[in-house]
Amino acid sequence: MKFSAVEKLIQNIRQDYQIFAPVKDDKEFFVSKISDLKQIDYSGRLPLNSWKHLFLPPGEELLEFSKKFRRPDSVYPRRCAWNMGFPDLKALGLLDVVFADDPYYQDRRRNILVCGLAVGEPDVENYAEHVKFSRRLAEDSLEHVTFDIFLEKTKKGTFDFFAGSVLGREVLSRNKIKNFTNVQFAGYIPEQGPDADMLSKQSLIKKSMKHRLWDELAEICLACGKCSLVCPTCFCFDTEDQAQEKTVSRQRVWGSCFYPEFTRLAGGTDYTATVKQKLQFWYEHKFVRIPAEYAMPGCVSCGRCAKVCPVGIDIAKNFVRLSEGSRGLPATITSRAGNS
Amino acid sequence: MINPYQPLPVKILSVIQETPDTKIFRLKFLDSVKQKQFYFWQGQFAQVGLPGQGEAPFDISSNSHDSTAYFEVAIRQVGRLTQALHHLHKGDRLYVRAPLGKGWPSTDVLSQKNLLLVGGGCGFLALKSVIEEVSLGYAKKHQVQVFYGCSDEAQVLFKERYQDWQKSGIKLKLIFDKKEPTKKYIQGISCGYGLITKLFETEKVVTHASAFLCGPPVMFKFVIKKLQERGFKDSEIYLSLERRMSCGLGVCQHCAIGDKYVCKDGPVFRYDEVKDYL
Ligand SMILES: Cc1cc2nc3c(=O)[nH]c(=O)nc-3n(C[C@H](O)[C@H](O)[C@H](O)COP(=O)(O)OP(=O)(O)OC[C@H]3O[C@@H](n4cnc5c(N)ncnc54)[C@H](O)[C@@H]3O)c2cc1C
Ligand code: SF4
Ligand code: SF4
Ligand code: FES
Repeated sequence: MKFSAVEKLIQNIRQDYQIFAPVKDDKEFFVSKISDLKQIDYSGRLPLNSWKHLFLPPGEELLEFSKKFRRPDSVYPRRCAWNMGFPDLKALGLLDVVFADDPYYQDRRRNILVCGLAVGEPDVENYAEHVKFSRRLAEDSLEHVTFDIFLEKTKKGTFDFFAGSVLGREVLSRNKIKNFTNVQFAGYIPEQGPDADMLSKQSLIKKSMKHRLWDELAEICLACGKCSLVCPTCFCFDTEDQAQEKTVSRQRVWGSCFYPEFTRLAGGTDYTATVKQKLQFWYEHKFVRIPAEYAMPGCVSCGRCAKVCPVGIDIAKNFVRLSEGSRGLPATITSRAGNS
Repeated sequence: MINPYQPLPVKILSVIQETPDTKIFRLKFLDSVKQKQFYFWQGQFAQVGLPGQGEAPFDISSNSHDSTAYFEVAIRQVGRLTQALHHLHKGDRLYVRAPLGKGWPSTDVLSQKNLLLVGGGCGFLALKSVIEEVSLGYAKKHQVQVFYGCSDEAQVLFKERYQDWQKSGIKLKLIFDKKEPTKKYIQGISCGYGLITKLFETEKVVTHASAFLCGPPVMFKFVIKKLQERGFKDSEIYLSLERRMSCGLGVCQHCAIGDKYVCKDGPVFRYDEVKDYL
């Protein structure tokens, strides 16, 4: 279908939903709340800030206390996440699973219409390197990601429509779009079993804890936490009580395992006191813990962490290094961090 | 959907100043139906909190057989929340999410039925509920030996229970590592001076036993070495670990070790499952 059909669709969706979509700002792309539909970017570039703040806000009130603890009566606005790229849909699938039993997440999520976009080969820098790092794009299939509506921009510049949920079909039908492909969700885990690339990365990280790379990274990493802020699969959080005038608000706020205090105990013991331990904790979360628990990849290879890192730490390159083995490992750094 | 973050109010039935820095709180849910249905497994913990002070994990230290009437936590004052908790009195309220985590294994699944329980410092708190449980008959059928290492006499926990425990067949030994004891016996329990590992030299250690350990990381290291020297297999050693916590649900990542969560998969782990991550 022509682009005009897409424009008409989003115009109609706007009647019921606030629209969030990628917008170009100077050089970079960001997910923004859309006032003018013309701002929306259709290049397929992944916005730098990821979409997670829509699903898991940086701060939210879990409980409010006055006489007793109760969940506040929150209103979750109807929102449409428009033009989410494939990696971001995968990340959303992970969040959906991790927060499956979380009533706050689920109530907010229910009001979000998820619309994906694929543009042939995604327009990312260092495309060849990017593919090597992770994705066999052709193998990624719509059956294994979560979405309501999906648009695929063809080489000719027209659009194919897909529906991935009852809601998606309804919205398309309401907009008189009949020519869409219905996609039956087949679970996050592919038919042939858990992702082989994920499993090989998992075992690589497990056996690479003594690799000298960690010491080299620890030398330069600032523990600024920027990588975890932009990462669509970083969902660590802290809970904190904020005293208001007459009440107390128990909040869930984004955390980062790079920040001090994340693992500190009363008395000062801290199992991630060093930058090396923090880096390993981060990699273990994505490549060991998440696959162990959910059989899903904890990294969707979006490349954002590398892009924002002020000292140029690049996850793809790190994997290349680790897979080359630990040649010339000096004896002094063979023990696991903090185990001395 | 059940809200896993919702704490429930409990009333303080009693507060006992157990040692200079530790108080034992006996608690009861305000909701009597909840209390009547309450059950925990020894080694599970509670997130205990106060509005404005957040919440933190504490081992449930009472006997699980009394769980439908009350439960207890022993709290050492070390920081902000614990200080606020220490200001509370009988009749006051606090807020609890419990039970959480996975506790000590059932004796049914142990391949070695005798027990060696080793607690260092406030790690002893995590063993209290197991000791209570095995004092109800198990210790007459199987040998149960307890090593309790403490800094000095003033810090000794649960003294008033020792005579009952001994009558039930439990063999307890105390050892102090900071100050030499002034008495030879506390409530009939002999006291030594030195590190907890010294007991492995001076005592006849049970054989055909499973070992349950809780204490500071250095204690784990040296006690496990002693156990291994005596032929304990890694799969016969269990540890209760301490990590910072927030959600208690296996999501927030604060308590993660390797591929596991202390709050959800633990705090009790079989040693062979976590030894690479310690
Ligand atoms: C499974 C488990 C069982 C425990 N059982 C007991 C017990 O029975 N009795 C007891 O006195 N203590 C126990 N602790 C330790 C107790 O949780 C800490 O002493 C307590 O969190 C300190 O809180 P605070 O606010 O006073 O200290 P602060 O230093 O002011 O801590 C601020 C925050 O840091 C976190 N934190 C600090 N220290 C710890 C810690 N050691 N463990 C986990 N989170 C921490 C908490 O979220 C706390 O609210 C246990 C810890 C764990 C993990
Ligand atoms: S962005 Fe780079 S410097 Fe900052 S914490 Fe991440 S890896 Fe370290
Ligand atoms: S590439 Fe980096 S930012 Fe993207 S999902 Fe993986 S770890 Fe997160
Ligand atoms: S306390 Fe949140 S994951 Fe364990």
